[in-house]
Amino acid sequence: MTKPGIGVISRRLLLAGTAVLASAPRPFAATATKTLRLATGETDGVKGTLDPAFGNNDNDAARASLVFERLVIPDASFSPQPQLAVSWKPDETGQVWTFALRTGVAFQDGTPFTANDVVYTYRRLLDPKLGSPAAAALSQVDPDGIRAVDDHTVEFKLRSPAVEFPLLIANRFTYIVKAGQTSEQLRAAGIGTGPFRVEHFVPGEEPSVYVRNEHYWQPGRPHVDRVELRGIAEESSRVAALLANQVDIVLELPLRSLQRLEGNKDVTIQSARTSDWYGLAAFSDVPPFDDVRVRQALKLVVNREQYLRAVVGGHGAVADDTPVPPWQKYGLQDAPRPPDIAAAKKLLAEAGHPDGIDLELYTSAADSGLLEIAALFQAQAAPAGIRVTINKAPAADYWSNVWLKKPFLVTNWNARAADEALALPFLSTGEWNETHWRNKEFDALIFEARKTLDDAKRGELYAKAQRLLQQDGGAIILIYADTVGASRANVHGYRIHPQKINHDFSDVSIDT
Amino acid sequence: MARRLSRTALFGAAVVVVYAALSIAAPWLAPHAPDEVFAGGAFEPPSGAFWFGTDSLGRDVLSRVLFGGRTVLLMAGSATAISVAIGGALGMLLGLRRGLADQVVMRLIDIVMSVPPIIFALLLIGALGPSALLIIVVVGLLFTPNVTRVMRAATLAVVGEDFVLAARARGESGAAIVLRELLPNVAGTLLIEFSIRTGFATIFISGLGFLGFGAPPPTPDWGVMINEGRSTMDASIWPVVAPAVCMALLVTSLNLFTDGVARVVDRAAR
Amino acid sequence: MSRPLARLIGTRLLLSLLSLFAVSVIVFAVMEALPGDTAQRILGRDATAQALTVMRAQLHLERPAIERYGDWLTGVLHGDFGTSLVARRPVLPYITAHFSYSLLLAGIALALHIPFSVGLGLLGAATRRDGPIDSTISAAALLGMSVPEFVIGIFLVSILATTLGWFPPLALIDQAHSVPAVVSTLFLPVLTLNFAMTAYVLRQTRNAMFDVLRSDYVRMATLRGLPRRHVLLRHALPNALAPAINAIALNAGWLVGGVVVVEVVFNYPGLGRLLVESISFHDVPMIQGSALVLSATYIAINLAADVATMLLTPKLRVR
Repeated sequence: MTKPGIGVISRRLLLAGTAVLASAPRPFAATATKTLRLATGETDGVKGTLDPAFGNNDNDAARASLVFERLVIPDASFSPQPQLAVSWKPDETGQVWTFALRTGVAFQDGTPFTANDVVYTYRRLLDPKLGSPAAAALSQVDPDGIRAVDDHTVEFKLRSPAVEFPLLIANRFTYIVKAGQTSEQLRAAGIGTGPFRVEHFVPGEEPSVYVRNEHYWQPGRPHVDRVELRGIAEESSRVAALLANQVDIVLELPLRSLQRLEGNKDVTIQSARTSDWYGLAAFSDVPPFDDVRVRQALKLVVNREQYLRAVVGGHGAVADDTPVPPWQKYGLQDAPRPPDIAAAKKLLAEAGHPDGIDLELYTSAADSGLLEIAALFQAQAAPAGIRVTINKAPAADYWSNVWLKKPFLVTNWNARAADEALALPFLSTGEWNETHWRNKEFDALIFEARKTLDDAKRGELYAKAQRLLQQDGGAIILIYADTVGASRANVHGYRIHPQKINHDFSDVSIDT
Repeated sequence: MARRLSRTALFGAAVVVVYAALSIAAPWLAPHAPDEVFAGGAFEPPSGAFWFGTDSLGRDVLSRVLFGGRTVLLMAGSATAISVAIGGALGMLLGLRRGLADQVVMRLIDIVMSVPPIIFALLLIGALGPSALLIIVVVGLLFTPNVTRVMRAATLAVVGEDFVLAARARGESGAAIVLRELLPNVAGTLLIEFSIRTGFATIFISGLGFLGFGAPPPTPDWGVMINEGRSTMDASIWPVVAPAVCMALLVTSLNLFTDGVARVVDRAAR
Repeated sequence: MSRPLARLIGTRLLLSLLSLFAVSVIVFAVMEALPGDTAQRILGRDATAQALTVMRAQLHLERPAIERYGDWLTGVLHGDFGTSLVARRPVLPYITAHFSYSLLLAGIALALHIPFSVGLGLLGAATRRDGPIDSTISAAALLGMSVPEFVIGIFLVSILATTLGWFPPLALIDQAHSVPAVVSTLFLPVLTLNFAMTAYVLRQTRNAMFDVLRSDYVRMATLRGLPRRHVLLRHALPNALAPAINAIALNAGWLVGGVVVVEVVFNYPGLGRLLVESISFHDVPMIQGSALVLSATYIAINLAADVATMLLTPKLRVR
């Protein structure tokens, strides 16, 4: 299946060379194989992996979407929909969940998909010896509490009741792999139930190539025979490649280059309102941020509209210091608070800074938009006496050495459903508590909401939690960014999902 | 010497002087602060208020180019000064005092020069993190071996001359020989080296900036500006064109000047 | 070959090997001494404390530096360049593959530029010095030398690829399945590289030619009544070749670095780009392998240039 890198590359080179000498086109490319050429917005070089337990960027997510599937998938409004599981129900305590699995599904090598594979997948994710970040995201699951009731039924016993458990397992790690596969196999040649199987993937080599899964359970799908996936980090190159018909779908489009594409008949642009958010994170346990008045002052100086314009060219929405947008379930419907420099100055003075304060803000080019936010904040904060020095860290280092380590930085998060969006960054015990905010009341509200069966009451609890976050938290959540992608006009069946990592390529077709 | 320089060389020198003057005067000349965001709208075309328009954050491109010129001249100039000072001194010393030290140092230089410079720069800056000072030091050190070689060769050429032998015979001290006989004769080469290295340094440093290893903000740097602007060239070409043209003009002028001086030195040596 | 020349080449070879060894030590020392946690770079944002501990143990980073370097060196002497920390696969196939691509690009660029620039240099010298043709060629050369190659690359892409659509904007070499496609894909990167290189060789050739044309040797030939073309080709050119070849060799050396920038601009899977990526991952074995191969190429080219110059310049040979 997967050949060693040097073999294929040398073969390609030799062919290119012979082509130069003999002036003959390569034979197999001349047939009518329908190939879908995908481009993501990042390059991951040799870091790339197919193993869902370790995927952490857009390329990994795209790869996993082609080859694997999950029990449950989130739809555009973050409600759980069946994929490999057809139905699910909790017991009365909400602590034991039973999933009925789809029958008639086979892996890419023809073997049948059963509950054993589910148990294997989840136990592996939770295994401390594997060291997957998934273990933290799935901390509510008890590894010994996963069992196969029969060939098509799985039971999960949780450590504490979770009303929205199905949504919790619709994340980027929980792709079902065939039981028995080792990490090495999964790194580059994993076997799953998805619409395409791996034909050639060597980390660092691009493109990676996938071919149709002949055993795919959805009849009539996929509609293409072959997929080529590559990453193009350079924004203008990505757009140029789409326009020059070098790629068919661009999974992430730079929002500032949309002008060039709007009105172009050869290209279809798709955008989805997303709760990907951008903001600033400050350590709430470190001066001067340990004084809630300082945190509130920072939130009052920002003019959120300007960020909307500068970072995403208007393609998004203003956020009001909560990661849950108004259009998502449990989102608040209050109007965002306008900036108020005078009030900010007053708060600073009350907190003991009558002459303003000096702050160091970290940022980098690690993601698009981070630098611009820092520059804007520096300018916006100045009239209130907040003197900001920008520290631009190297991009490669940012998420490893700056994030979670420096007291004041620019941050962004992918879209998530309300519970995860509030829990992962803001629970006091969270692994990714980027603001060091430890608010017992907030924690209690979240834990309570997870157990509350009544939807209205749950809504109230999440609303209270958000208002607490707005008032007291150390994060200034500035804007939500739309997700925008584009495809050639002759490509159909691709729909952008508000959560960037969810792709469905099984329905994509290309007119010739 | 100025009298004997060709017109193009003088033109080149004049341009460089103008650049230097503009850079020094940048804080007073620039209509806006280089990092003043949303002075205007984003990607505005050139107008009376913004001669080169604005960039993605509404910053005035003209002001950024002016301050960028300051950064460039400062960094390239300092790096070159380091390399010429160390390389010149070392080269002259080696040329005067031949012998074992000379052989050893030249071999060492051969070894150091076998690493492609860009790799060395990427390694050091990639690992230590970019800062203006580090870039200056690294580039300066990278150019030193080359300058040493050239100055050593120039020194050797002079040392064999009769008037130097005569001075030695007269019993003049080493330092006096250097000052009175050597320096005036290698000054031309030194000047050429300084001029040409500054051009190379400008290109090299902007290349580093382009690859993402440039000086961090708020230092506007032409290479960084070009890199930032190239993603959005369809919105406006000016954030890329303005610094690119300025850089081209500066380096071309330096090269013209270098050519002129080289011709003069050449003729004098004949 | 004469004995002194052979001895000279021998010494240089020995020195080159020493240089390579020194390079490997320097690269290793730099990466060791400076901060950068490979495990962090691999796990990125999602890193949990547990995940980091497990990953670090797997990477065997706790062994002392000397030991790791020793292992690596022994491996290299046996042809084993170690395993990439990030890819978990052998380093050598990656380097070979990427190096081949870089060679393809650099080779084509070099091959095209030699006749082009020597030819232009001759043309400039054949006409009157500082006359219209000579001045134009001179000015164009000067510009080519003064503008950084990434700027040239960006503008070529902008004009020829994005606006006019004559060439593909990215050098996606895997999508090129026929001769015209390969040519079209590589055209812009090769052109970009050529601008800078041609300019340099052009000037050297032209200057050298003028120097030689002024020499007594050539003046004698002209006085003897030989036709100008004969003088140029038979008397002047061979003597001007040495500086020209030196310049070409310098260019070849420059290519080793210059190709990095072009590979980044055009998204081309060459060794320079691999090196830049490895640095950001702090993938030490990959960095060492790439740096070693690039340095070896650089050294080899310089050695070849020096030897060629020595062979072509009889005066230097006899000492």
